[in-house]
Formats: sequence, structure tokens, C-alpha cells
Amino acid sequence: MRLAFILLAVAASSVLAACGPTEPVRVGFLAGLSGRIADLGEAARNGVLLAIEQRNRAGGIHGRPIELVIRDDKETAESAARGAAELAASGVAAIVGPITSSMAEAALPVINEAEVVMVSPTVTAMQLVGQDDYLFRINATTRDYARMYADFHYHRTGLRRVAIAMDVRNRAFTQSWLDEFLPAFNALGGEVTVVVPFESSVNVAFADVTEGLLKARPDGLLFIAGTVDVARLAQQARRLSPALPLIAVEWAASDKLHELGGAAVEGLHVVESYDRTDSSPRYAAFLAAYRERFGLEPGYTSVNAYDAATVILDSLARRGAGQSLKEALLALGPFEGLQQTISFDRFGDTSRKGYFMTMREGRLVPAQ
Amino acid sequence: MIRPSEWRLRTALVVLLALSTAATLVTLVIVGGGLFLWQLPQLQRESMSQAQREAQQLAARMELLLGNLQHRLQQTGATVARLPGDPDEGLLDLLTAEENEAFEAAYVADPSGVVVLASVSSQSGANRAELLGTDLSANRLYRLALEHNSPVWSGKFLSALSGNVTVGAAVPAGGRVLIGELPLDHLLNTLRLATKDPRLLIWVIDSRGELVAETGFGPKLGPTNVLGLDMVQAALRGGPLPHIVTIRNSEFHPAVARSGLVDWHFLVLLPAGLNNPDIRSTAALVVAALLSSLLIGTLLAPFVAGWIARPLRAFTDRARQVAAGMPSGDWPRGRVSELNALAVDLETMAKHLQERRDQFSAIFNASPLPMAVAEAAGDSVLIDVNEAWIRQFRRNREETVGRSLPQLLWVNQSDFPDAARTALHDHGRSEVLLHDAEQRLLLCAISARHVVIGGETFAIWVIEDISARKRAEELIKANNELLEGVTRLQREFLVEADPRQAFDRILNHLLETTSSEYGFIGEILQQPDGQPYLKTHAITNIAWNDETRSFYEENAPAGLEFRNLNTLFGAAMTTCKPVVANDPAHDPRRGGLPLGHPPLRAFLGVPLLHGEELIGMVGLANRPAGYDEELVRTLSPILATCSSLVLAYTLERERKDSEEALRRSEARLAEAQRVAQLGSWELDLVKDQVVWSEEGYRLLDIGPGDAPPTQEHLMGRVRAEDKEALRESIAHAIRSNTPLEHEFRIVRSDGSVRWVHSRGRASYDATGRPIRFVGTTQDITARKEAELALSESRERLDSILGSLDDVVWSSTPDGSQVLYMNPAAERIYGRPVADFLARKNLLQETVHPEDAAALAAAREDLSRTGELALEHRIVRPDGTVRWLRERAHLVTDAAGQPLRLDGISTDITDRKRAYERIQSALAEKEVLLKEIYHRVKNNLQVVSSLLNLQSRRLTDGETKRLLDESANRVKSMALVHEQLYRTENLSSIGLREYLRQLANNLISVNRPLSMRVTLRLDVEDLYMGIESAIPFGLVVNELVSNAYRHGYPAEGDVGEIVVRVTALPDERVCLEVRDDGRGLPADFAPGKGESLGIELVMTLAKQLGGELTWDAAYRGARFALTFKPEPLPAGRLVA
Repeated sequence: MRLAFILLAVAASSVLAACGPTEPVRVGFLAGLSGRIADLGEAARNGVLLAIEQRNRAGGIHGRPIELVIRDDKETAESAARGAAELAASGVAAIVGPITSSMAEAALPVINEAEVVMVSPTVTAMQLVGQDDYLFRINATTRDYARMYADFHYHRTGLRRVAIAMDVRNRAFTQSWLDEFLPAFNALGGEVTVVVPFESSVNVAFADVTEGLLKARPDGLLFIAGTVDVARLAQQARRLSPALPLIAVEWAASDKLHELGGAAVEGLHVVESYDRTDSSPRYAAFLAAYRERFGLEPGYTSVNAYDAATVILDSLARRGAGQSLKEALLALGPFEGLQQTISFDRFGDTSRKGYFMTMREGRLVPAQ
Repeated sequence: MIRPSEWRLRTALVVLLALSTAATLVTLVIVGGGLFLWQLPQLQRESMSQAQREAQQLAARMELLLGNLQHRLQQTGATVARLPGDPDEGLLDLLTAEENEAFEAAYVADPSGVVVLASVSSQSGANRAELLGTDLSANRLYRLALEHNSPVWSGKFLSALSGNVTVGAAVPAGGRVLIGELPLDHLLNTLRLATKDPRLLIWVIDSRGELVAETGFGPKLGPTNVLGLDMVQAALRGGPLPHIVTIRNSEFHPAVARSGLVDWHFLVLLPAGLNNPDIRSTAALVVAALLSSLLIGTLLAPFVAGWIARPLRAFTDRARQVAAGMPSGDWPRGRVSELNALAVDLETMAKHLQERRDQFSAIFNASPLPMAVAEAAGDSVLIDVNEAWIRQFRRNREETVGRSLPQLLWVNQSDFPDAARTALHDHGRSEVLLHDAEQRLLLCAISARHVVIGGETFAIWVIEDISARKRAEELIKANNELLEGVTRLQREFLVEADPRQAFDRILNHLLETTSSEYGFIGEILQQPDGQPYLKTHAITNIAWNDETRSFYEENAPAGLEFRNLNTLFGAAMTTCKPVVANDPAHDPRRGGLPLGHPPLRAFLGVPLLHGEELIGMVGLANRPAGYDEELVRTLSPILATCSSLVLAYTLERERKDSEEALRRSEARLAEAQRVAQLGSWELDLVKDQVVWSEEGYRLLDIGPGDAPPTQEHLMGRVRAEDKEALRESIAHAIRSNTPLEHEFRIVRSDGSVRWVHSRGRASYDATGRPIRFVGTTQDITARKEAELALSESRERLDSILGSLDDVVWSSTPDGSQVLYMNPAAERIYGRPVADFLARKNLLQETVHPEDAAALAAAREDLSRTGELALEHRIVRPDGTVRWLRERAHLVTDAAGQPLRLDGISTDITDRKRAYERIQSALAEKEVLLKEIYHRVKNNLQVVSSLLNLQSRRLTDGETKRLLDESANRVKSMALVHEQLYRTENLSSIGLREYLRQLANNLISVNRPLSMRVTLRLDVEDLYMGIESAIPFGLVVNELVSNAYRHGYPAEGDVGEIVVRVTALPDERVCLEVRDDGRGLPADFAPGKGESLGIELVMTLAKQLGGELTWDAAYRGARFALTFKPEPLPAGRLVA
């Protein structure tokens, strides 16, 4: 009698399952969406969202729709670890994110434990490079960027004495950047006159930070910080020393930079990990779709995140039976990104070209 | 038993009730399902209109709320516009005041976009002063407000001031713009308050499709952009929404309302289908009604059926009881009248049956004869037995009924006698041996009758025990005759001097009683190989010729022996069972007869047993009627007597053998005593007589023939001074019932004195009076003399050890127990020697606590090497400390097992004190030396600094250089002294560290040149004394300075100077200084140039006893100095 009940229940559930909608493929997204770098997080989210919506319109992955599950890491290590754990628990095939290296460090043990691949569009810190783990990176490294900056500004801008403000809240990135920049700049003959650390929050006295920088009488200021903090620092720098050259690291290269910084960021130098002047049909189509969908301009995190999502979705669609996503990512490359070809080495690292840009009349234009 | 075509009444009733329930259920399903399906669309319509209502109400409430905030902002904006110049910040503070809980920040930007006025809530913690001057010209909200000149709301909005994600509202303020920022949390809280229905999922979407807020029941999407959803696009376009949307696998009815004020859409999602609580509760109600009716029907059916069938079940049980003969009592009644009438009739019938049965039973059981009723056919299974039967066979009725008679009463069923079987089945009578429950055999008379009752045949048996009667009759007769004969035989054995005559009489009696012709009685003995054989005590003379006659006469009195066991009597001996052979000629056990032997027509051999042991045998022959078992039984009293006699005869012989053995043993003892010079004695305390063994007499020098000595007589032999002690020892041993142990001297008749040792113990009678004292005395003169010699030798050794200053000791191998210690220990340890012998571990406890570890380590060595040597301190009881040197070695036995530890401890306190005084004098000198080196270094540094100071004032380049060079030379010497006072032994310095410091100095004075020309050191780890170090340092200083000065004259020259120091095999050292600069001039020769430097190097090289070489062919300058440094002082100054 009991057996009959069980058989009936099994038969009923299988009939129901057959009638129900196709189970979607879940992809996670982990980034700061509420804190001081929410601009970068939102732009990255839009990039991923666009990639997924386009793929869904094209029939999903083997007929299954893709569903984006979003977690806000609030730029704190606990939220990042918790968000990664929640995503892993909800059965995502992979995670796009996070944006900052500190958050990547916090989430890394969780995804390694859960064996869920995480493709970060942006992180660059050296301690995350060359590790055989579940983190894949779309961006270049702090070493690449710091050397580009040192070389460019020593030879092209002609800077010799640079004062640096550094946000220690994302120390994993900023310290790595600084550690790479110092020897590179010194080797060329430049000198870093002072490094002023601050912890990004609403109540930082940016005037004090900027005064600390200027006291060392530099011939240029370098900000290793996010967009909002760079905008705030620029406001103070322009007030205290209007003509001093300002440089921000690639982290701050958000499309919101002008909106947040206004006239203060005019003339600011920054490197972007994509070419915004690109007129190739592929990029033009992306640009049009993005504007249409969100009514906004994409930023570097949008482009990188779109690439990250593309890499994951391609691998999910093309991987062989029994092949894990990690194996597929390592085996199926190189992948065609929006502008650059992405090919992972055995540690899931890749290289990326950077573009020197200068803020001119509210727009980032190629540096002269 | 239920046949397949039958149903139980209860089952039939259950089926009936179940069918009716099922019919009800089907009706309910049809009616309930129909109702539900008819209701469903109506419920859905209601849900959708409810969602629409909710959306509109929510939009209205939120608009009201946000409108209020906008109104406040506008009022403030108007005030700002009216006031000339920059208004007061207090105006804005009203907006961000905490009690308003609304705006997190408010600020005014002037027409160029620069923030001129700002206020932040105290919670946000932002720095108001820093916000001023921020450029908002690119800010979207600011530009929109300026452009439209009307209030504008942002969607989700990243604050340029705080960096937080907020919602912003901007109002124009007379050419300027006032912006207020609302935290998202505030909006979410307001939304939660405004939402009354907890079942709803609510989204607030801004114009870009950003999910500004989400709350309520259902899946959460997080901070995303939902413009990709068709439903949202339709809502934003103002088009119709789908009836049902699926979000994260859940279905919802969507409804939307737009707030024109903020250009936001409020999307309300009400769960659809079974997710909708209304539909779910209606469905649940229908299912619950179905299930409960099913449940009630199922529960009631068996209950009602059981209730109706209950009386019938009781009738069946009761009828079974009546059939089994149990009292029936009242029959049950129920609520069914027919069943109750049936119960009354059955009750009457059962009562009649019971009465009839009781009557028969009473008669049966009252019979005095044991009776049983059984089935006539087959195995005759017992059906009933009466009380008399039960008493006779001691079995109760339960274990009897149902079994057959042979099974119950016969030991072996297959042997059940046919006669008895016939008697049981026919009308006959028979006598049979049966056994009762306790396995006693009963001789029973069986008589049987068959009766036919109700068509069946039963056997009725009367079985009566007659065994007691029979036995009594037979026994009385036989026993009388036998007992008479037995009594006579025993009497004869007791009075006969020669037991053989008694055996002859018994044999005669047996021959007579059994009418046998001849026979024998014999004892069974064992041959050495364990085989039994027969030796006769009585045998009939059957000699048949002269030869056998003379053999009989010669041997019969001592007994004839028969050893062949393959005979009839042999069979009796080997089996221990009587042998009856009434046809010996054909008996397989026969052994044959010698020629002329009288004929053997019948034979009886009976073994005689004592317990299970075969002790003898009786043989009888030629009884005319032959022999049988019965005869053996009849003869058993005489045979038993015969057994007793054989046993008695055997015991008597063994007693005689024992006496002989005892006599021989005593002789051996006397011999042993003589060899051991040990005499034994027995003192009769009552008669005061002493009996000595033979050796005892010899010991005391008394002839064995002398009169038995008394105690006092013997005391005369004891030496006068030992007498009293001996008496006291004996008296004490007797008094306290303890053994006597005493050594004393005796004087023999020839005047010689012997040491003897006596041992003994008193014995007492029942009243406790001492009666006898038994013991031994041994001559121990030889041992005593050896002991005395040993004692003398020990005294001599003690005297020597007592005069020693060192402590000589001996202990157990682990050192815990001192075995010996000489008197010097008292002086050194300050404790009596007895303390060390009495207290375990005391020797270790005296050791100074700081030396305990060293002692433990020395003990480790001891266990490994067998030797111990160390110096340590001890603490004496008065607290003073002394130094001891300890040497000991382990003494082992032949097998290498440790026996003891022997050692000697010397007091070395005075020597140690002298050594410590020397140590402290050395330490003082060391401090002094350090101070001198320090001061020399300081003075040299002052000189060097003075030269530097002087040099700085000079303008003449050459003079300045000369002064600097001098300063460097002094500095190099100061460094040697600095190194010296930093080293431990104050006499040599490490070259590697010294040259590193020297190099640092050279690099520092040669800046900026040293930035381009690096100085590399490659120095082995060598040490050098002060005598060599100073000139060596000066040489390095000169050569490196020269390299810097002459090697790289041009501005852009770069290169490397290398200083290399290597040790050569013959204790020489090689210094090499080379550079990759311009090289030496072609005509280079020392002394030729004006440089003091190279001259100085030559002089110093000479001073060092070394040789300076240079390599003119080298592409730079290259100098090498090989020299032998002063030998280092041996070891450190301070040990």
C-alpha cells in the first residue's frame, strides 16, 4: 500500500516536472551596488545584464534561459563573503565580479571551497595573479598599469616629484598598485615625495589629505582611489593648487567621473582598459544597445563585465559533456571580447591593453 | 476456519459501510470540484482588481508623502531665492534636522554649478565645509532642474557629495538650484508603512528601469535594472499589462500605477494560482472536507461492524470452553433479541452437559484401583486416569493424558513385552515391570476391558503394583541361609593364625554350597609391565600324577601363580565381570588344559573388587547343573566376605613391608647425620631424658652405650661462659612456643673446644604442658673461625677509611640507598653517617639545587660508561655550601648486572674559591681594556672630526684633499678600536664587519662619485689581531681612496671597485683592491709620485711583513697585498 503511494507520488511529480517551465541557468553577480563605488558596480551590472538579455533573446543556453542573481557586497569583506556563499548556495553556474581586489580576496576562499568559477571584470592586484584557483581575471595587473603610468608620466607629462593619496579601504588593490609604482618610477629617476593614506568613507577630511600631499611640494598628484573619492580629492586639489597636474588610477575611470567632479576633474589623467574611440561595428553595436537599454554611457566596468559574461556564456554553451566550467574556460580560449581577445593562462589570468585618457570639457579624450 | 467463499460478518459490514462512504465521497468530489472551478476565475478577477487598487493607493500615498517633502524643499528654495546674497546655512539645516528623518543632505548650487550652501544630517557624518565649492555643473539632476525651472526627481542617484546611492529632488531657487537627498532606506521604510497588504510584492521603478526599492512577499531581485522585463516596458509605455507574469518561477498578477510627481512606477504583484492565499484557502477547504468525510467513514465502519458482531464472537468462545469441560457460567447478552434467545438455550444445554460429566468423574476418581482410559486402536493413547493411578505412578494428569502407556511407563519402548502388549489390547491379565515418574521399577499386574461408547472403542485398564509383595516373599528365604555361612567364615578368619587356612575353609564352603568339584581363591598382583596375574591363597589339589603332586606340595603353601590371561579366568580378570562358561570346550575365551588335567565341564570365574579395584578372584568348576547369574547373586555375601579377607591379607603384607622400609630409612638418616656432623636429639621434658642420634653422641664425645644422658648432664659439656645464655634460650623457646636457634661452644673430653649450632622446638600436650623438645645440633667450628678472621679484616679497613679526609661511600646502583660511608662524611656533610644509612635519597638531597641538572647528566653517563665524575656543590644543614669532586664507578656481577656504586668524594671548596678570585680579577681587567679601546676610538674620532672641520674652512683644493685623506686614515684606525671593544675577546676583530663599516665611510665621503661607482666587498669570514688590523685597514683605505680619486675622473664615468680578502693555505691573507677605471699610468712606480697614499701603503706593507704587487697589464688598477697576520692570542682572555 505504502509502495503504491510512493509510486503514485513519483509519477505525479515527474508529470508535473515535465509540464513546468525549463529550469533557467543561473549566473551570479557580486559587486558594490550601494557604497561609494556604486557607479562602477552599476555600470558592470548593466554590462552583464545586457550580455544576458541579448543571449536570452538568441535562445539562451541550449534552450534554457539565463537568470542573473545579484548580490551587493557593500564594499565590506563580510558582505562579499556572505554574498559569494549565497550565490554558490543558490546554484549559480558562475559569478561575475567583484569590482575591487579587496572584495575578491574576501570572496576567494568561499568560491574555492564551493568550486564555483568567479570571473572578475576588473581586479588587478598582484596577490591575485598567478594562483591556480577559481578566480579568473579579465583585466591586466597592477604591475602592468603602474609601469604604464610611471613611464608615461615620467617621459610624457615630465613629472619628477609625485605625491600620492591612497584609499586603504581597498588596500589589496591600492597597496599592490603603490608597491609596483614606486620601484618603476624610482628606476626612471622620479621620486615619490609623500604617500597619504585615507580610508574611504563619507567623513574623510579630504582637505587635510590634500594639504598633506601639497606640503611635500610635488609637481603632480596621483590618486589611488575610486571615482567618488577622486572627485572629492580633485575638488580640494583645485581649490588649494589650481594648476597642479592630477592623475587618477584606472580604478576611477568611471563615466560618472565628470558628473561627480565637474570642473575639478578637468585635465585629469586616467587610463581606461578599453578604447572609447573605437568605431568597429562590433563595439558600435554594443554602444547602441547599451544606450538604448539603460539611457546611459557605458564605462570601463561595463565593457569588461560584458566581456566577462560573454566568456562565461560562451564556455557554458560550448563546453563538452562532463567538462567543468573551469576546465572549459582554460581549454576553449581564446575568447573574442568586445575589443580585445581574451586568452587565459593556466592561472586564469590574461593581459589587457590600457588607453591614456584626459578629461577635456567633460569628456575623456585620448591623451596628447 | 473461513472458507474462501465465506466472509466474516464484520468484513461484510465494513464493506457495506465503505461502499456507502465512497459514494458520498464521489458526490463531494463532483460537487466540490465544480464549485471550485466555477469560483476560480472570479477569485482571479478579484485578485487583479485588488492588485490594481493597491497599486493606485500606494502611488497616491507615496506621492502625497514625497509631495510633502518636495513642498518643503520648494518653500526653502523660495526663501533662498528671496534672500539677497548667500543665505544662512541654518535654513538648510531645518531640512536635514534629525527629527525630520527625511533629507540626508541638502545643498544649493549657484548658476555656475558650484555648491555655495550645504547641510548634512548629523548621521551622515559628512564634512560640510568640504562640500562647499563642489562643482555640480555636470550633475544630471542639477542640469534638469535648471533646464526645466521646475522641481525634478532623480531616480536612483549617486550623490556627488556623500558618495551614497540616494534619491534626489531638485527645485529651482531663483537662478540657483536646491537639491535634497533622501536615503534609499528611508524610502523603503516609507514604502513598507504605506503597504497594508503583506501578501503583495511591490517594486518601485524609476524612469530608467532601475529598481529603486522592492518590498513585500516573494522573490527579491536585488539592486537591478528591470527594464528588460516585458511587463516593465509595457508599464513604462503605459500599455496593458499581462494577466499573469512569472518571476523566479512564481506566478503573479501584476498591476501598475505611475506617480507623475517623481516619474516613478509602482508595480504591485499579487501571487497568482495556488500562491494566492484566497485560492489556496478555498482549495484547502474543499480538500479538507473530502479528507475528513473519508476519514470519518473509515474510522466508523470497523467500529460499527465490531459492535454488531461482538455477541457472536463471545458465543464461539463460550462454546469452546464448554467443550473443553470448563464451567460455562452466564452466556453474554446483546442488543439483538434473536441472539439473546439463542444465549438462553445454549446456557441450559451447557448446564446439563456439565452435570452428567461431573457424576462420571466422581465415580472414576473414587475407585481405589489405579485405572486408565485409552484409545483401543493404534498406540493406545491415554485419555484419562484416576486419582489412584496418579498416586501410584507419581505423574500428574497433564503429563499423562495424550501419551501412550509404553511411552510413559517403559524404559525402552521397543522392548515392551509382547505379553503385556497382548494384555493391554485383549481381555487378559499379565505381570509387567513398569517404572514410575521417579524411575523406580514397579512389578504391575495389568487387566484390561474394552468398551464401546458412541461408536468408538475405548480400553479401560486396571494396573496394580504388586512388586512389594513379591520381593518380600523371595528375600526372606535366601538371605537366611547365606547370612549364616558368612558369619561363620568371618569368625574363622579372625581366629586363624595362618590366613591361608581361612581361605581353604572358604573355598571348601563354596565348593560345598555350589556342589562344585574343584576351585581356587586368589589375589591379583601386577607384573612389572602392568599386566595383572593371579596368585592363589587356596586351591583344590587336583594333581593327577607324581610330578604334579610334588609340584603342588612344594608350591601350594606359598601360592601358585597364573600369568596366562588368555583363559577363562583371565577373561574374568581383564573384564572385571563374572565369567560363566557352561560349555568350556567350545567357549571362545578358553585357554586349553594341560595333558592329564581332570575334565572341565563347567566354569564360573568371579572377580573380587574393592571399590572399582580388582583385588582377587574366585574360580569354581564342574557344578553338575552349570552356573548362572542368579547363582552369583546368591553367593554375593560370601564373595563380599572373600573380598574383605583378600583385602585384609594384602594390607597385612603391606604393613610388614612398610616396617622394613622404615628400618632402612633410619639407617640412612644416621649415615647422613654423620656426614653433616649434625646430631639430632629428643628431650623428654617429663622424664628429663635426652635421646641422641648416633652422630649426636659422637659430637658430644659420649659413647652410645653410656647411660641415657639428662639435660644437666649435657650442660656439663657446654663451656662455662655460654651456659647461662643457652639455658635462657631453651627456656624462652619453651615458654613462647618459638623455635630455638642458638650458637655456643662445647668442651670435649680431650679439652678441645668446638662451636655448635642448635635448632629445635618444643611440643605440648592437650593441656598446654610442654612434654618434648626435639631438635638438631651441628658442628660449625670451621665457619666460626672464618667469620672471626673476616671481622678482624673489616676492623683494619674501617681504621684506614676512618683516617681518610675524603668521603668513601658505597650505595645501591641507583644511588638512592647508602650502604657504607666512612666517618669523614660527618666532617664534610655536617651530618652523622647514620642519617645517610637511615634515610633514602639523603645524599641526593644535599646536592645544591643549581647542580641537580649536572648530577642528572652525570648519572646518564654513568649508566652508559659505568663511571661517574663531576664537581658539584652541597648544602650542609647549617646552610653553608661546599664544593665536592665526585668520582664513582659501578660494580657489576659476572653477568654484567649492576651490584652497587662505589665512590669517593673530595672537598675542593678551597681550590674553587681561589679560582673564583682569579676569575673576578680577570673580569675587572677586561672592563678596563674595553674602556681603553673606547676612549682611543673616541679620541681618534675627535681627531678625525677636527680634521674634517678644518677641511671645510679651506678653500685650497689640494690642502683640503690632504686634510680629508688624513681624516679618513684616522677614521680607519678609530674603526679598528670600535670593532675591538665590541668583540668579546677584545683582541681580534672580524674583517667582514670592519671592512663593511670602512666601506660605508668611504662611500659616504666620496659622494656623489660613489653613486656612480659602486664599491663591492668580497671578504671571507676572517679574524685579525689589533697589531695587524690597523695597518691593514689603512692600506684598504688608501687603495680604495686612490681608486675613487684616480680611476674615474670624467663626469659620466661609471664602474665598480672591488675589495677582496681571501685566506691562503699557509695562514697568510691576500688583499686585492681593483677597479675598472682608467688604470695605472704606464710609468707607475711607488715613491715616484707625490702621493702620500701609495708611499704610506708601501710602508704599511713592510710593517705587515707583506708584499705589495700591482698589475700594470690590468684594464683598471689592481693591487694585491699578501702578508701573514700576527697570530691571534690563544682563546679568550676570560675563560
